[in-house]
Amino acid sequence: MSFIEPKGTPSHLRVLLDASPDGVAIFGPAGRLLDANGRFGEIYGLSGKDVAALSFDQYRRYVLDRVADHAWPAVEAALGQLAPDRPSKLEIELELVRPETRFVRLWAAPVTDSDGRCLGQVSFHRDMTDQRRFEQELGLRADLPDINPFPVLKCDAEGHVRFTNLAAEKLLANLGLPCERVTEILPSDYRKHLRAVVERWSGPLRLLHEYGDRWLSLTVSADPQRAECMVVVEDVTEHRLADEKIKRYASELEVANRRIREAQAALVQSEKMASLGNLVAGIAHEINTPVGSINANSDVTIRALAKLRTLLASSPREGTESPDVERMITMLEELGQVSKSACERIVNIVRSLRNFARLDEADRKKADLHEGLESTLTLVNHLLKDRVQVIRDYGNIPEIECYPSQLNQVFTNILVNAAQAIKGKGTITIVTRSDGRKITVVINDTGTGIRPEHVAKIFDPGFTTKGVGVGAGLGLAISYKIVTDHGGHVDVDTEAGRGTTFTITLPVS
Amino acid sequence: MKGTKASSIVLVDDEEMILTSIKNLLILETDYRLAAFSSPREALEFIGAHAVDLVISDYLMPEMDGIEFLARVKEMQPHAVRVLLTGYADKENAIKAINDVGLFQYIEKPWENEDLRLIIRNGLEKRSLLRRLEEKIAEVERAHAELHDVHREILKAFA
Repeated sequence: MSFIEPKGTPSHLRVLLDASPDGVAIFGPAGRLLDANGRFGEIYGLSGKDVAALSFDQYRRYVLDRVADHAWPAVEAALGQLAPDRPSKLEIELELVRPETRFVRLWAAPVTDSDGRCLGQVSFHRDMTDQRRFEQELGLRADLPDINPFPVLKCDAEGHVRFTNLAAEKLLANLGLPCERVTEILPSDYRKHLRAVVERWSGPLRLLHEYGDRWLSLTVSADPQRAECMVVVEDVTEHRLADEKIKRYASELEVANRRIREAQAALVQSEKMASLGNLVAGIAHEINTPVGSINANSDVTIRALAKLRTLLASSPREGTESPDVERMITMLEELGQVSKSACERIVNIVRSLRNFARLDEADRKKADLHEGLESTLTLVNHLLKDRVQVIRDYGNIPEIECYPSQLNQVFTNILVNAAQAIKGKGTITIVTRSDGRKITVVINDTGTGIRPEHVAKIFDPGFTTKGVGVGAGLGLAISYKIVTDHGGHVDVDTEAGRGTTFTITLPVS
Repeated sequence: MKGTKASSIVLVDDEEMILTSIKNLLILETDYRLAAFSSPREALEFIGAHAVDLVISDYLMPEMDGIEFLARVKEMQPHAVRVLLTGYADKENAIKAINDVGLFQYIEKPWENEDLRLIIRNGLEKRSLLRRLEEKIAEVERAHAELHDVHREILKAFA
């Protein structure tokens, strides 16, 4: 029997075939296509002409060309078994990837006559694409119900975003991004990261990405078995802003803290200065009385000796003309002179002390810095004598408006440090210069220098290398503040083993 | 007139060494009569009983300060020359005292002997000049009074 109907006469069978939602194809034992419905051509994207000329071999090749790589071996084996002269039953799903992804389920069954002779092969082809897609969707959604508040993206290993959950869609809407441009919220090199996560199956990778004015934290994890990645997105803009605020507050606090420590140091210093002032006033007063007496007595001694000489000359007695008498008188006169000089020196020291404390003048006035330097040198002389040579290179500098007692403190600090830095013998050089707009006072010592790791800290209040209890480490901090308050600045240049140079620059006006 | 009587100087300082220094200077170089006291109260007793030409006093003393002392001296013998010995810190008070108490001069410790001598000499000279002036004025007044009496007599004679 032939079930090939003559063309042109629709029969029930024909109507059924044409109406079927599945594709039907019948191949004869020689492999030629005997009949196929329109749906068959549709499913495979073949025109009527192509279908009419199709042979089974061609069909098989067509399928194998388009089947997904991972499925190729199984499909090849199955279709290989399926020679039309050796028909058998077959059910297989074909995943075709070219030109686009389609899933086609194939049923094939032999057609035999009542005698068992092979008449051919009938095959049914069902387009499962929609169903499989739906299942994938479902699979993608399975672990991401819509109540999940975190935006989640699912990508394949190549970085194509396959799925966005409800929260993700809301996020995109807030950012003003249409869903197709979802990858814009990912960093430009996100594919690299996805690959890395998938290949190494490493733990979740955290990325921070700025999109517009929002900061997004992306946590990428991978499921290598399913070759898909999950990216959880979190808008951390507020957190970042809070972080930045905290950082700002912290640095402001640090500045305030430093200011407080400086103010404290200044307060301590001014209290010290006040008690120093009282001390100096008392000492100066006390010293002046005995010094006055010694000075006057030395002077009277000299005068009395002059008179003695005259007396002896006018009424010589035996022995009084001897040169020894004259020598003795001369010696006493000289001693008297030396005592007077010594008193002058004491007076000078007391004056320097007063000058240093500037007890009489706590105000801003025009002062000659050389005077201050000399006062200071007098006062620190005990640290220098016989050990440290002082070289003065004083330029022509104008008087400047300043607080002289404060600047004297600065000179003292630096000179004392210099003297202490010089172990054994050494030299301190003081150079002063002015260019009319500013004055520079350069104090150099040939001491041990400052270690590089300390240099940045020497002006910090409380920093000292002298050990606990020796000093409070405030000297340079206060000096720095005094100089900057005067509108100037302090620079330090040092080399371990060679010495240190402090350069104080002050504006003339 | 450089009087036959040498000038009389009173020294007051609670520090003995200062008295010794100034005393010996003046003994060596001058012929002034000297009286030195380390207690201002004793000095005031002396000044109450003796005429003095010049008084030098220290400022800071435990019993009373120099300005107060010299103020009392002024009350007792307004013609005596008053000199204050001050420390640097008391300078301002001394300057005020020049006006209040009528100091002739102040001198700072430590001093130069030559300066001290000069101040004393100048002070005494001023004193002697003033005395001579007073004497002259007294003379003139006496002469005037005499003249006045004579004038009256003459008028009476011719009345």
